[in-house]
Amino acid sequence: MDNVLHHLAIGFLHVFEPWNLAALIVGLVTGLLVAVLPGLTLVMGVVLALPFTYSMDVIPAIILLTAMYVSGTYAGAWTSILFRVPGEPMDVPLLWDGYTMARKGQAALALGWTLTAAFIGGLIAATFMVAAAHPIAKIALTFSTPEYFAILFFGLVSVVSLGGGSLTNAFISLFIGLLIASVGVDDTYGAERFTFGVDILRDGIDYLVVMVGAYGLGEVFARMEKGFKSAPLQAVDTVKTRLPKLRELWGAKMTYLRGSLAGIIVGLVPGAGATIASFVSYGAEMQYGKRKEQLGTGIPEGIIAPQTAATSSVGGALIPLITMGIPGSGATAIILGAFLLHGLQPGPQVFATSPNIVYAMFASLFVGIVGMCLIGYFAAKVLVKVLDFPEAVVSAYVVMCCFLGAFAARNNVTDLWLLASFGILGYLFERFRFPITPLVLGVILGPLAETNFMTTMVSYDNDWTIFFTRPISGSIMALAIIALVFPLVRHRLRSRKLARTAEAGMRARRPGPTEEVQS
Amino acid sequence: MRLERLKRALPYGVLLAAGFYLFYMANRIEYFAPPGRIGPDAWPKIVISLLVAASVYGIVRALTRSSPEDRHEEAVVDAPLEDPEPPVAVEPEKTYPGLLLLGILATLAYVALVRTLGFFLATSAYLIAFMIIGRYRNWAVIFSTGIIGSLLMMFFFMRVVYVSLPIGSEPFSAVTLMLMKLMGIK
Repeated sequence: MDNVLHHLAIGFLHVFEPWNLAALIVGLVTGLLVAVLPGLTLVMGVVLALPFTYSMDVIPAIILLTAMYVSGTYAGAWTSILFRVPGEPMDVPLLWDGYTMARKGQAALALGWTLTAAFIGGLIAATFMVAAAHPIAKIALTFSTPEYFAILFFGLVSVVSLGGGSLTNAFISLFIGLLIASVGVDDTYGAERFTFGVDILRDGIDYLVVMVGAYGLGEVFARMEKGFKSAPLQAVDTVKTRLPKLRELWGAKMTYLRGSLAGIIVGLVPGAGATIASFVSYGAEMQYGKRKEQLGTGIPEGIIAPQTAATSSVGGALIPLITMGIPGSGATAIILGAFLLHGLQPGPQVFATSPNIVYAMFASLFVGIVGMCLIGYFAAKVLVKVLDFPEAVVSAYVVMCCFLGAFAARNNVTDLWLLASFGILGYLFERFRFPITPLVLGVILGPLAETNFMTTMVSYDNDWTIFFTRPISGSIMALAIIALVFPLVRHRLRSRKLARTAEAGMRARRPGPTEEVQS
Repeated sequence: MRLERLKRALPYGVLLAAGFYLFYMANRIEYFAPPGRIGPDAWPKIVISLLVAASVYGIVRALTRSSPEDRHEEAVVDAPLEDPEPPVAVEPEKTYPGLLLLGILATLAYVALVRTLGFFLATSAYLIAFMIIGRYRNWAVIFSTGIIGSLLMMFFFMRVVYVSLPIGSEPFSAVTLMLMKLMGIK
């Protein structure tokens, strides 16, 4: 533990170096702006920032992206509460109580609850991350390929089953992602797969191109079809934050704790991110909250639960990235990209090889959360004015950042064709209700999953039961199957209950034989 | 009704056909593997088989479901919570497929022309065109942000990040080279 604190202290020193601090502030402000703009998602924002970090050293680059990631989970709440415009999908639950509270004339207090939720949730998760990362990395050192494959399998299954919408479509999306990841020369045999004689495909399709295309360009196309409607701005001049009293904060301690826990656990699951954490936490509050019956009527618990979880999911998602090299979400996949760009492979060894970088990142999360809340408290009024920007202009620049991001990765114009193709694919996915997240996670985790699967098959004479017979991998596979089956069972139960309720309602409305006689 | 079902099944049909084609391509992957070892075609074949199975299920479901209203059945995990606000009559959202088509064509044209025109000319033209297609009509903002934005991006990426953006071919390259000289980019 002393060793951890010692490294963390050095990490803080790194963060307070002028360039690193500047990167942190730029990251925080950009993340807040991205979160405020409804057309720009958090992942898109981090993706678009990546090319700007190419010339930076690894520490400021990682600090900038991490700061964007954490602050991107916060500012979308402002527009949800003030204008009923969720900046991110994760901010949708904030409409129910946050916006309702604002309509009651308590907007400033609602923003205050949001700030405390982001602050407390973020700090709890960051502390957990620092305490748990090293021990988890030590355990991960004992993992072999079956365990790694099981973890990846769990992540892929979770993103499908937790993601919402049609399960079939989510699976199809995931399989397409895995197939895209298999394009190019394979690592084991050097055989060409699905290259169709195109030279650039021999090197494979960079996940960055798929992410930027499907998330960024696809989203812009989808919004273009809707005619780029800018959000109406009302009462920006009155935006201010009023912090709740300490006594009120203490009264909601269990909600903070539940939200933080939900965020950390969901964040730990590879593939599940802040959006899922936010919904899961609100759902948990509906089940276990002290005032669960009043949720949706504009009470602080309805703000605390989703916001705490969204921000604390950042700390959770960074753990599998650092300790196992498995990105837990779209944003962490980009941070992984930044690590790799600078020749660093996250994983259990990274604590021994580059502790200064890891702990600088950890420390930046603490400083970032404090900075984010300070900026949020004093500058929310200025930052929400970004909504005034015409959407067509913002979108034009988003597309340009997409192009530059894709081009700068390999300096190849062919990547721009790939980007445009994935942009159209992303639009079609949205049009036909296929979720994009499984596609992207498939592309990111596909090569890792394949390598671990192939190595296991070679090492264990093609015995696929090994994934189920080894204690750790078997347990994780069992969890994955539960994660897959649980939503199906829950849906069936819910449908049956609905059908029974409807039937009972019909019976109640239908006049009975005695009533008929009387009438 | 039947047409509606066929329409819903169409995307899955396309995916099914693609799956079969890719499986055929996977069979043609050339490699040398020691006996008893699975080859580089194994993983893609597993994934394609799952894709085909999911597509078949999608087709069957689309053809057997009576109406789109039944769609809640498809949703295994719908949005976990409903918006508690009272429902209000919402008009169907207006869409502009023409704008989308123009936007996609402009994007493809940009990719096709960026090597010939060079980064600056292609990007400023694209940004201006994109904003106009996006129904924005403040001409001063359109032209100033289009041109100044392209210049700033060129400066940042070529001077600061050292990305070699396309210069273009003659005669357009002359413009890029002149700008590079003015910005002190070697």
